[in-house]
This record gives sequence, structure tokens and C-alpha cells, in this order.
Amino acid sequence: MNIMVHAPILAIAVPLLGAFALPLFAKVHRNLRDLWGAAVAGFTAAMAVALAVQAFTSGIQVYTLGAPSPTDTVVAGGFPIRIMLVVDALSAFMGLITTVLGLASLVYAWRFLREDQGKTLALTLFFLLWAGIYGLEYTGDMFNFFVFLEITSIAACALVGYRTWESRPPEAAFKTMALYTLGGLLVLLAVGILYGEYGALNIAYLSSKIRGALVDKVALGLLLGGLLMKAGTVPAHMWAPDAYGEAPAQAAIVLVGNTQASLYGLWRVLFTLFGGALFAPQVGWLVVALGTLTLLVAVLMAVIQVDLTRLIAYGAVSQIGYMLLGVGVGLTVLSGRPEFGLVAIRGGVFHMLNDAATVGLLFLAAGAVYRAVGSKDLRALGGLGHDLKWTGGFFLLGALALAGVPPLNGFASKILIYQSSFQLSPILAAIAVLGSILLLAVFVRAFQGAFLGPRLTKAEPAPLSMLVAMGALAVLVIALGLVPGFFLEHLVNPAADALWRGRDLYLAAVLGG
Amino acid sequence: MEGQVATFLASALLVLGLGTLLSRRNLIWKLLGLNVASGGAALFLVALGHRPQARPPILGWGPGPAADPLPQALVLTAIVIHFATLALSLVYVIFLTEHRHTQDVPKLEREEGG
Repeated sequence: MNIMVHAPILAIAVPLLGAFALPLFAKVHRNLRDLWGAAVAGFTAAMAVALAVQAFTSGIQVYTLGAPSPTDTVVAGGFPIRIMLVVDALSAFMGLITTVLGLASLVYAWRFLREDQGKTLALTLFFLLWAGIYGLEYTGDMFNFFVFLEITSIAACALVGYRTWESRPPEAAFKTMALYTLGGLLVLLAVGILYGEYGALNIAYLSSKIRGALVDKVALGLLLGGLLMKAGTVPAHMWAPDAYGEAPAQAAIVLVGNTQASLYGLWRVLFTLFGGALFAPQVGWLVVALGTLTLLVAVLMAVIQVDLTRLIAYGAVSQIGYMLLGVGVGLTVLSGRPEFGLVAIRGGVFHMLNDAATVGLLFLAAGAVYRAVGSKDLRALGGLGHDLKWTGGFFLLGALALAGVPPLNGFASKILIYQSSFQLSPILAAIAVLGSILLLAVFVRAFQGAFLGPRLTKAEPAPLSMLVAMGALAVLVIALGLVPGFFLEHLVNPAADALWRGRDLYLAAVLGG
Repeated sequence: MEGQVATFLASALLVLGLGTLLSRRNLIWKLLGLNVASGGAALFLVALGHRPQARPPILGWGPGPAADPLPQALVLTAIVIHFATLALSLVYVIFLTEHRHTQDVPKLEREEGG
């Protein structure tokens, strides 16, 4: 048996099995549990990376579940009846982001989580969330998409409310759960409408049938609403700072991946399912407007935060705005296909990778602060730089990258977004630049408040595993900023092309011909 | 006919549920509203499988049209998912009640500010 043929399903099934087997191994011995977790994570990451290599070198990978051969996509008559996993360059790109975040989270969690605070259960939920995110990114079936969306919702909310012995996490988890459920409900209704109209759930098949009737518009509206809600864009952003703020650090960075997977779902719906050009200018402008609004509101809210993780959370929400802005600009001009549309999509897609590294690094650094002194209130923190030298350095690096200071990675993708949105409307670029400047001010103030000044309390330095996880993300931040051309050429450009003009290839890979 | 009635009922349940979710101030009421709305969505999916004069989709039940079995399979999955989300949300209501001794949203928010 050639294992690589089955890589798409293995990347989902193995962490799923790994999650539910983990507590059993923990019953035997802790070391066995850690060994099992490491083996599952290593195998999953290997599958995701190998799959990405395949997708980037030899085109779209299709895997049909339950068929005699994984590539038997359609039955006689050209109709796809089975559930399918379809991995194009964009899915593979998202899979790589998920892999990086997942591995960083796991390495960090090894020493960050405490045994007496339910480490086993947190790891179980992590693997469940990880499997769900891979599923969201690889699936080629609308109902399957809904199921994975709900798997990630449940696992993510359980992680947000993980510290049940404190009073705020359950509240954040409840809020998040209610909004996720509402978003999932909208997606389910849209799936039902599409199935009622076209009698199929396969994304490629639906895409080949959708012509822009009224029901299609209703379905598009419901999908947009549901996915934007889950991605935490204004005006449905209230859950995001609570969720990011209260989740333990190792979970917060996987939540970033979860949010990005919802955004990926949005791109997939807009560009592949609804064929991009169908409603492009109006929906594109809507996405641009929401993106601009999101980044503006989030940055302004960040200014008044006094809680370190909530401050980073608003920073994370603002970055979602930049991604929406970039890809939205591309969608707006999709029908004419001018050069700057592709640049905009590249910027938006590249920013997803940069956001994962930067925001991930900031959340991990904030987690190290919380672990060291048991507080994340900026009014009470100060002088931590004396004891937490590495953590302080990582935080400063992440803050500068988030604000888009050259030569770090945030600048590399933001410059693409600035340039291209300027060509659509100079006001958009002005708002985007203004947002970055405000972010810089906010985060420098936070760094100064938490790490500089006289030593207030004795803080215990972060253990090695946490430093390794932060160091890995920091190296990524620097590497992405120093040689953006390399990453653009090999990872981002193929992924952006999959959105820009990859719909026909996607349909051909699934439906044949 | 039955299909239209079911679709109408489903829409009514959705509106009722979402209205409750938005208007009520108590967390338990909000969850009830969400659950009623999920029920509406499930009914909507089942109604999609309706065919005029159709029988249940069971092999060997004679000729003639049969209802579409796929939405029923989908609904089973959706019901299980909604059960899981409801259960998890209720757990958080229990924890919140233990910590804050209230399930009233305005009260919870006031305490947060103060």
C-alpha cells in the first residue's frame, strides 16, 4: 500500500484517533501518553507536509472516501456521490500553517500545562481541534465542512473555558460557544438550501451548477454571515477578545489557526463555490469594507486594553482585517483581473502565514508572563525584563512584526496589501497604514509596561520547552521577513493563484475533463 | 403540501428560536432559543427530502416515488452536533452560576465593569 495516496485522510484521522486514545494511554503512564502524543503529532505533521509537497509539485490532490480507488471521483454520468477531500495549493498552504501552529503549541504545552490542572484533557482537546482544522482545510464537501466547523467549535470552546476554576473563562467560553453555534446554524441552513436546489453537497459540483439565482444569493449571504462570525470580524467580534484572552496560551495559538481556517472557508466559498466573478464587485466591496472596519475597530479597542492577553487578542482581530482587506481587494477586481488584484490576494494570503507566526509568538510570550507571575494585568506588571530576558525579546520581536516594521515579516505582506489597496482606493491604504502605526504605539507601550522599569517581583524564567516553541516561531518571523521572496515564490504565489484563477482546475480535478 | 407545511414550521421555529436568543436576558433562555432554532434547521433539512406522494426510503417497499434519504442522514449528524454544543454550553452555565451566582446577562456584565 502506498501510504502517500492516503495522506489527506490520514492527516485528519490520525489526530482524531490520537485525541481519543490519549486519555487511555495516560491511564497507563504519563510518559506513554507523551510518547503517544509526540508520535501522533509527528506523523500528522509529516502527512501534512508531504501532502503540501505533492500539491505544490504535481497539482490538486483528490481523495474519494469509500471509492474502489481514491481517485474515482465520479460515478457514471459525471455525478460525485461520495465524500471527497480536495487539496489544492491553498488548502496545502493552510495545512502548513496549521502544522506549524500545532507543533509549536504542543512543544510549548509540554512544560506550560500542569498535571494537576488536567494536562491530559487539554492535550486531548488540542488534538481534536487540530484534526478539525485539517478537516476544514482539506474537505471538498459542504456538509463535511459544516461537521468539521462544529468539531473545531466544540474543541475550541472547551479549550477557551479550560480554566473552569476561574470566573472569567466559563463566561468567555459561553459567549464563544453561542456565537459559534449561531454561525454553524447559518452555515447548515445554507448547506440545506444548496442541497435542496442542486441535490448535491460536493463543492466542485455545486460550483458548476450555481448561476446566481435568488436562492444562491440567500445561501451566499448565510455562508458569509456564518463564516465571518466564526472568523471574528466586526460586528461579530465580541467573542474573540474574550476567547483569546481567557484561553491558555497553548490553546490561543491554535485558536488563531482555527480562525484562519474559517477565513479559508470564506475564500473557498467566495472564489470556488460561487465562482468569484459571479457576485464579485459587490461582495468584494463588502469584504473590503468589513476588513477595513475590523482593523480600525480592533486597533482602537486595543488602545484602551489593560489586560495583556486581551490586548494581543485585539491585535489578532485587527490582523484578520488586513487579510480581509487584501483578499477583498482581489475579489473586487476579479472580473477585470488587473495585475494589482493578484498582488492583493498574495498579500492577504501571505499575511495569514505571517499572522500565524507573529500573533502565535505574542500569545506564547504572554503565556510565559502569566506562568511566571500569575497575572496579565498591565497595571500590575513591570520590570519583567530582568528575569524573563528571552520572553521579553520574543515579545518585542512579535510586537514589531505585528505592527509591520521592516525588515520583519509583517511588513513583507502588509506592503503588498498597502500597494494594491492604494490602487483600488487611497483611503483604504491610508486606514491600513494608520492601523499599523497605532498598533506599534499600543504594543510598544505594552512592552514597556510589562518588561521595562524596576523589578517588581521575582519571576521564574520560562522552561526550555516553552522557549524552544517561542524560538521556532521567532526564527520564522525573522526568516519570513528577511527572505520573503523565497516564501512568496514557493508557497504564497501558488496558493494565491489557486484563488485568482484556480477554480477551473479545481472543478476539473473533481469532475474530470 | 406536507413539504410546504414542514418548511413553514421550520422557518417559524428558526424565527422563534433566534428571537428568543436575542431578546432574553437569561443564559438558560438563550440556550433554549438556540436549541429551538437548531430544531428548526433540522426540520428544514428533513423537509428538503420530501417528495409528493412519497413513501419512506426503504428498499423493497414497492414502486413509486420515495423520499430522499440523504437529508435524514445529515439531520442525524446535525442533531448529535447540536446536542454536544448544548451540553457543553450548559456546563459553562453551571460553572458561571457557581462563580457568579447569576445567569442574568446584564448583571454579569455590570459585575465585570465594577
